[in-house]
Amino acid sequence: MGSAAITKAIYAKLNADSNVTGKITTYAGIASIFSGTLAPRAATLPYILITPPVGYIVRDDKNGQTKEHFRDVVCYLESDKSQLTVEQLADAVHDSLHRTSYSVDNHTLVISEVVGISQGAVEDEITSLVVSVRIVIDKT
Amino acid sequence: MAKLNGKDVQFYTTDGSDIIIDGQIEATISCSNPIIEDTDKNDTSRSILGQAVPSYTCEMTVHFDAADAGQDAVRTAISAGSSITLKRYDSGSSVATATGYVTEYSLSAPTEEIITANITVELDGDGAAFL
Repeated sequence: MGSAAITKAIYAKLNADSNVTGKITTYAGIASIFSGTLAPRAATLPYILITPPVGYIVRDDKNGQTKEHFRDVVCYLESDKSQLTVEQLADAVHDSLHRTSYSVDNHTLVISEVVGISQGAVEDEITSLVVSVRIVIDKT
Repeated sequence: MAKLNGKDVQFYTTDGSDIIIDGQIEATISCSNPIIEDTDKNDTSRSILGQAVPSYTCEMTVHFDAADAGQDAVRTAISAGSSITLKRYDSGSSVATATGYVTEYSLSAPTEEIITANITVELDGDGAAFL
């Protein structure tokens, strides 16, 4: 299906981008980029969470398997940060994933496109922006 | 005759051995046979003498792949104005073969979408086996 390969690919792409990693903290010595629904309890802001799949559209041809995936990458920051700082992190994620190429295990990447940045969850000390990504991959 | 899934109906060409025209997402086979009409001003209802001869057209939409040998054979045929052998395969077995001419090849490349190509092949002779 390719979801795990996409999670791995997004992580690798963001982790290799100093414009992204320079705006987040580190956790256990590596950039604070996590996957799943929650970051580790000891993670410090700002950090990035690659959230689980939200669905895909089948774009197969008769002999090949092509899927259009939709993934959210959430940027979490301290709520007392300026809006500019919050948006700069989201923009860095955008620039890293929009119309760029990267390797996806056992697939060929056809399209990687950011289709929106929206406000995510806000709590007392945390704010977030959601970067929504559309990814089309062709199974090799 | 069992019903078929559309994915199991595909067009091939041949170059000694059969070559799939890969990346197909849609295949259409159509037959038309226009009527010969002799209705005149004094008729009170339509009058049809009969029909001409049937013509057979195969159309397909493919995900464009510059490296695919089948798609390349189609492009070569329309550029050279040469005929092409077209085969209909059902579930991996050839069920019809005819010579045809590629009369249209149009490539569509919208921004941030998969490139597709539409191909039209007019069959020469009797293509009834394709239906």
